[in-house]
Amino acid sequence: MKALKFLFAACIALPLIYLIVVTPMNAEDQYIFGLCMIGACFLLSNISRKHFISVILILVSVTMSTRYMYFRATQTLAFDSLIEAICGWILFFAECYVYIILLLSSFQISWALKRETVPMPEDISKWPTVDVYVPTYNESLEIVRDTVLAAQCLEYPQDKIKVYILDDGRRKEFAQFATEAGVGYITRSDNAHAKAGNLNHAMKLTHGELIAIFDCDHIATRMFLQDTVGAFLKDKKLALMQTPHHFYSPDPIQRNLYLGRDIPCENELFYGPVQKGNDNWDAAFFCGSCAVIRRAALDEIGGFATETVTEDAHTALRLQRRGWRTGYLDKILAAGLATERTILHIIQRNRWARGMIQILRLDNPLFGRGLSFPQRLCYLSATMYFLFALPRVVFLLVPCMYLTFGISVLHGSAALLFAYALPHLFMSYYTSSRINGRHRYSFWGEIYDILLSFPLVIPTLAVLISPRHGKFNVTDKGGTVDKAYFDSHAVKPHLICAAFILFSMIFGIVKYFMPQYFTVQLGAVLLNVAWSAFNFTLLLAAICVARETPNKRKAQRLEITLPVLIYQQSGICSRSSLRDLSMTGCRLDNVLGDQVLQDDPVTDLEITTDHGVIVLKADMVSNSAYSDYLRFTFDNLDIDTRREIVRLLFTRPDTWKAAPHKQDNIIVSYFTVLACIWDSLTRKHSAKKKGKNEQRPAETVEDVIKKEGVPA
Amino acid sequence: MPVISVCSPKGGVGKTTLAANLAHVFSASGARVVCIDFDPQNSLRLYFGVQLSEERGFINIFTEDPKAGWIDAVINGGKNLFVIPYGKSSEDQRRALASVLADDKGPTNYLGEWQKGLFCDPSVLLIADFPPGYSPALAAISTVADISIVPLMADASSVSLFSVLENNELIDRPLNERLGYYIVLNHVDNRIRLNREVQDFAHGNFADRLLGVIHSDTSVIEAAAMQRSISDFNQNSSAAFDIEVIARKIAGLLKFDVKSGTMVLNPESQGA
Repeated sequence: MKALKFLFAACIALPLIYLIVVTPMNAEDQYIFGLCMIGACFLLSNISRKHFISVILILVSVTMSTRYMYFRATQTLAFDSLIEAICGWILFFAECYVYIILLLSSFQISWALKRETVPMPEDISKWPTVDVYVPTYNESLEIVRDTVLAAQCLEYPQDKIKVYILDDGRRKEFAQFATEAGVGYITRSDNAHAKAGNLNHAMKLTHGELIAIFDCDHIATRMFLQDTVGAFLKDKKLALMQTPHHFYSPDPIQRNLYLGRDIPCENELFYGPVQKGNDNWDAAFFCGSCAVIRRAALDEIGGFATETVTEDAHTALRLQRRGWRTGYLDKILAAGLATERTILHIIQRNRWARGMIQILRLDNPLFGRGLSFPQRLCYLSATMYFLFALPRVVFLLVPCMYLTFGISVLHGSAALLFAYALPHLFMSYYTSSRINGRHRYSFWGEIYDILLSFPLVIPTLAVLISPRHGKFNVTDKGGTVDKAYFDSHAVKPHLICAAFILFSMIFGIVKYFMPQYFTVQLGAVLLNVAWSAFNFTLLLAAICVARETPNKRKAQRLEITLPVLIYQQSGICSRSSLRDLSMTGCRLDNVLGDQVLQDDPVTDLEITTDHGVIVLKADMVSNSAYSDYLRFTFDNLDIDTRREIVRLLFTRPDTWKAAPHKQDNIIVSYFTVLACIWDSLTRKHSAKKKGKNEQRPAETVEDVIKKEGVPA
Repeated sequence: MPVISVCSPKGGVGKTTLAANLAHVFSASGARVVCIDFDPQNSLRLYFGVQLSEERGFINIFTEDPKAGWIDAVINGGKNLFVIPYGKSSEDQRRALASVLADDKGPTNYLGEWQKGLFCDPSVLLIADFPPGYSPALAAISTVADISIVPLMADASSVSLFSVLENNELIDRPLNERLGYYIVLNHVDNRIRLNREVQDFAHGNFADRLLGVIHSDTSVIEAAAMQRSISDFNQNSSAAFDIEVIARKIAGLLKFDVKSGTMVLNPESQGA
């Protein structure tokens, strides 16, 4: 029945779409047609937020883009000179690439699967055994430690879970820590095949039915396994359950450009509409961490894929070729550290890009056996996405070529081109804003891409030509940026390009106002100046990301209100309220007043949690004695105390629950970009200072009685 | 007239301090409280501002004039607060009291006779403090007490005392015939691992008899030395907070068992 309906709809829609795509119009008619379509979509979109309407919008938007591409292919590819032909064809190919990605991603995001947690069976004997792997290579123990301690806090039958540190660095202090903490330690004599090799080596030594993998900075919340494992019991052909990668430290873009604004961060689009859309087509893929994999499935494909530098996506692809299913649960169950600096971010993406292109070349998802057609499209979209670098640079440079050198890469009048381009561009922005608007604001995708584009051009082309060369590089994490500086090295090509765009815009404006000295089409000049101005804005935003703002705090600080006892040397023990806590210190209400005696120092703190009490030795920051809050630092925590703080800070199931972002608005978003650039250039931080905490005590007598109850 | 007895198989666990501070909490929340000291140490009075030199107590009145009522021994200890000190006693006096209390018919008569005055007022709460271990007074009060609060230390020796209480070995019968006994772990210091383990043990095995814990806090001693209330000395004292929690729980228990209308412990919390 459903198929019949679909067929019927297709019979009506396809001829109509064909007509819309191929009918030629003059500029005026095309304007009217374009504006009518925009108006219709605008109306339709405002009628309801239903998914059905979104699908229609996607369809209309894709149709209008196809019409534009058809127009480009049939009417604009006539050139006067060789140089114009070369530039023109390059632009056309770049646009074709963008068009293909648009088609693929439209398909990907058209139906998002809202997967729910499958509850665990009541009979614990049915729960599968799980090995938790924490692979590490060169990260400091300080980072790995808390991940391992959090893994020990996972709520799962203790005889069914084993935690292992997979240390490719062969470090003595890691082995010692593993013993003290009571987890397994696995190392090997070589580092063949980097992370994938490390995982494969460990698989030979452990025997859990499921394998949970956490990158060494990804701290899991304690319900991680109970939220993900149930699905494996329900679906025997399920090989993978991926959960989002969430970062509790700001990434360089958030820190240097958002400057405290509430804007979705870069990966929210991927770990939202994209992976959920993939999941709908059974094509959610493995992202290397925060995931559970079935050992039997891995055994069937000979372990984690080692041919590429993105072993994760490639492993998933292989599993799916063998008919295994994958799942994506959109629930933040773990959190890690974002890359600290812009240059490191670029290096990390460099690896992803090379790896995905390797897959595209070595194990092309479009061909080869085993995949369904939708799966092919989803994997193709994921792997092709990373070819964006060159097209992005082309789009930045094309208008400048016209303004500076007079190279006209598009045949036809500016009016006609604009009439075709406007509905294509507007509607793709508009549709994506409607569908992805809580996960990605308009224009930010372009900014992320532009930031990466110049550095990625050569590596991606190199790997496209020679896919077998590629080294796994580890992303440095957990560093700090001590003082503000501009990392001009990271964005050198961007700066040169920005200067060029600025020059060509000025040149273009001169041409426009002094047309008597130049032979130009005024309309085309205007169009190209506007295009360049838009490019310049986005490029400037990308450059601002390299203006590193200081991020001195090493540890995550969480606002949390809990009862706390303060022990003084004299034996006086007072109650106070904890206001925030990190792995290195905390802040409490100053209840001691003038009783903070110089000769009666605070020696210990006792934090009351649902899981018992945490007692720790703490040093008071002396200048906090006379302020509203007492501040303490802890160092040399013993392992059990540290585990309890980790449990408290990082493992509560709702630790990372956050309110959704506001729905995107294209115009507001553009002005936000401008405001971000302005604030970055003027070094103003727009983050609102938080007001003083509410002074209600963490726990009153009534709270305690309610909590403990009166014995019967 | 609810009667709370504070007793313990062990000495030095803070019975007197707990009794006195419970009295302060109850009186502060609006109940009229009479605190009786059955401990020859005669130290309860010191928590109520009675001068060290003022050594007379009910034992003196009792031995001088057996016809006198309790009311003659009452000393005002603050707003809503009355204390009946034990008094400075001789061996003979103590023996005489013991024999009266130990008399099979005696106890009820003795207490019953004296109840007529202050004791019959249903809005008065009686808190009785006892010496460590067995005492004739403790045995006698068991017939009229509503609840027995037993402070213990959170150390290894207490673990064996849990069973003493469970098996009614203290006075060879239940400490009272109404609500039974409730344990309070006193001087709890979570910095000491053993303390935490004993708490876990108590929670695991005697959860229904464990009323609460009181943290080790020298504010209590300091306040007593200065004859001030704990929260007057340190308004954020953890021990003061813990005692208040325990007092509220006792109120809850008594309210549950003592039919409504017969007592108003804390008018504010009645609606809750």
